[in-house]
Amino acid sequence: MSSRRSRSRQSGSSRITDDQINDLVSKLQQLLPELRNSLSDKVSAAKVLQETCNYIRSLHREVDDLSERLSELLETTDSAQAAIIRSLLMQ
Amino acid sequence: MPLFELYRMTKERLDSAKNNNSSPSNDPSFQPENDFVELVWESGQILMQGQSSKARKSPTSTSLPSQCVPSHTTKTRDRDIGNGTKIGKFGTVDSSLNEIPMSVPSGEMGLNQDDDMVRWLNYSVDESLQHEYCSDFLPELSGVTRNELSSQNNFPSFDKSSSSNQFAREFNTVSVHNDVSLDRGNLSKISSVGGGEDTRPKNSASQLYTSSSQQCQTSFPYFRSRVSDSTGSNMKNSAENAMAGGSNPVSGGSLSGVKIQKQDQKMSSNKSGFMNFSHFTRPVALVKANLQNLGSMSGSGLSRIERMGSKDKSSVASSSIPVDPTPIHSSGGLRKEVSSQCQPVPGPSKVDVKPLDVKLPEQAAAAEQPEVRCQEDACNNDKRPSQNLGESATKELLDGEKTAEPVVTSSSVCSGNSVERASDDHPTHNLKRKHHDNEDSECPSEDVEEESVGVKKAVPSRVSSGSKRSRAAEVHNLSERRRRDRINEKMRALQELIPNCNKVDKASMLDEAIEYLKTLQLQVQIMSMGAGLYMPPMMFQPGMQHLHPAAHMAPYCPMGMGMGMGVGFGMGMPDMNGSSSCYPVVQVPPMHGAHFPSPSVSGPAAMQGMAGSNFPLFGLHGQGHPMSMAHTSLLTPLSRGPIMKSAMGLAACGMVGPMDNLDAATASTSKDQVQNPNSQVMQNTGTSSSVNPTSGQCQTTNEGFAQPTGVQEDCQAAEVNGHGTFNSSSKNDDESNRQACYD
Repeated sequence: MSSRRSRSRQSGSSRITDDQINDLVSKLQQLLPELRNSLSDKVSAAKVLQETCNYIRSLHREVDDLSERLSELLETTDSAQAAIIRSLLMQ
Repeated sequence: MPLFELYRMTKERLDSAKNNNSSPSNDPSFQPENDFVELVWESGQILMQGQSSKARKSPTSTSLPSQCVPSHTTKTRDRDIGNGTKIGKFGTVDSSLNEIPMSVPSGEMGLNQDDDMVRWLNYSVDESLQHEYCSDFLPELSGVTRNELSSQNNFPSFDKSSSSNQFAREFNTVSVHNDVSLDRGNLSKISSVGGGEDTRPKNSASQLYTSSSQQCQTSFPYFRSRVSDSTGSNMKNSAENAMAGGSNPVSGGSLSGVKIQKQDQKMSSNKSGFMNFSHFTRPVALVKANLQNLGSMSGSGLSRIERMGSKDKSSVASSSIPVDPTPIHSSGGLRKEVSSQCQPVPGPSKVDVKPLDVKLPEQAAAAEQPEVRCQEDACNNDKRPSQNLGESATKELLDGEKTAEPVVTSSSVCSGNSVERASDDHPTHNLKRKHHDNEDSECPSEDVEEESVGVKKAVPSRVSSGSKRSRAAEVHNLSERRRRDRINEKMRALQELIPNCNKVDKASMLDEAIEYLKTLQLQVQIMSMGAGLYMPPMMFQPGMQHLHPAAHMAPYCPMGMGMGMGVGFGMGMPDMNGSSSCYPVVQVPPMHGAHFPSPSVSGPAAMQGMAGSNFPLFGLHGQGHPMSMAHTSLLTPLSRGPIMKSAMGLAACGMVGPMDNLDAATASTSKDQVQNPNSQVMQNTGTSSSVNPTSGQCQTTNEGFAQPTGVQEDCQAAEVNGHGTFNSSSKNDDESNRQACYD
């Protein structure tokens, strides 16, 4: 009884978007380097989402690292750049 | 009132034997207390709550305040600690929204539990039961503590064991066993510490979190079974005494019932599935409803109701609802997982019990069900600890089986009677409870007798016919539910990772996630490009001035790009926006990935990028004649570059403010200007074929160019705006995103 009820409940709430969600999940999967190569569609949605989370985290880390690096580079090369620009403008 | 009198008596004894108590407190079993006092202080409110509620709860304690207060404080502390850890876990999971609501009921419950525990223990010991009984009984408690290690509940249970130790010492009945329990206390402490540590990383690692939750779960049934076993042994003893000690079974049954109910509430607040005792505890819960928090009460009630219809998991989930609605999302899944875990863990014997629960009518066998199930659980769980905790586990196994087998016959009957008597013996409790007790105990008592003959054997045969289908459905339902919970959990994690994702439905959530992922990938690509290529262009700049043909520029395209990027980063967005000719340059990288563009396109693109960037002279020198027209027109926005740079400096923070203005300014000027030079370039340049794409890009970027300004104004919406419009625009977004990040 309980299972029937829950099943009906589930179907009522989520069937509309089930296909849609599956689509989106597969799209998401294509974006993930870890799962992109796994041709089998048998990757569970939970795994895809988990990987997405991990991937987003790694991307965040990367972005942070890169922005740091860039700012460092700009710091270090600022004077040279300014000097070059100045010299060019002086010509 | 005999109970209270007894309680007082024991209290007095305790008072006299206070030194005795203090000495065990020095034992390792009490050290955990100290260890976890810190946690108590973290949630100071809990402690306060527990004490206050205690004072109001137990009138007996007021009669003997001196004794009661210390004993209770320690116990409540422990309990509070347990709650605190639980809360901590919840807090991490639920962003610590529920600390106070969670803690308040639990504190009260802990208090009540303490009282009941004290009474119970006193009673049993006071009845001067045999050593064997104590040894049977105390191992149970210690078993509880040990089993609970993985869960956060180990503290209260541990406390119980310690209190039992105290009492045992006091009466000098089981000194040997005391040591054993103390050792177990140590074990539990260590493992509990480990468990606490485990809970910490939960928030970060969701998988850990699920696993620990499973641990919690698995421990809960065991815990329950342990308690019930102890009560069962209590009842058994009383039964063996031919019910002569009417008060004895009464105390055992009623108090254990009360205690169980407390645990029930606690568990429900702790999100553990406690449906087993829901029937059994219903009357007690009713009694306590006035005194205790409504949330836990309703939780137990709900769990009971749900259980009628469905099963443990649903009741678990539902029980959590009243306690605190907010954590349901995060912890609900946990709970469900826990409950789902519960069933496989106990394994076959429990499966047999499960259908029994489902099948049995609600009104009947209210008291019997938990017992049966608990015993089964105990049997199963006895094996489990044996795996986990070697030496003592075997002992426990023996104890558990020893108790379980006799209990099967006697306990259910006894429970009915004892509950009945308990209600009789507790006039203080309201009539409702008596009512329920009578109902529950009378009705099942007959059934119980026949069933209790061979619960294990009878149950499967009886149940198999009707429950197979439901069991299969149950299993399926379970797995499905677990799957969904996992997905939902991941969804939530994803939502947290995506900034400004207010979407509720999964589809748009996933959409957002996809877009965000794309954006992030792009951003990382660009930034890595910028970071990796920033230096070379700087070094090669002098040489670039002498490069005239576009074809020669091709190898240096990365430099131009790097320059564009570098300038973009250095100068901030205005440069990028102001000189829209940068866009092709920036645009190249994503299109071609890490590889550099083909010579034909990249040459002019690089040139234009350079021209657009703060190095107009490079571009002009490089492209020479054809770009002369663009030179003047581009010069205006570009000349603005250095100024902006000087004004803004390299500090990335706070660039958004000025950038808006500058963007607006440059946008107005450069939009027209850049488009003009491009067209002129197209006309003038001999390499029109190669320029064409770039100019087209330029114009498209100009179209998408208005976006960045808006994006920058609303940095939060940056990642949403304009991806998919064009690569350049999305790049712009990335830039602005990055800028926003600096903010």
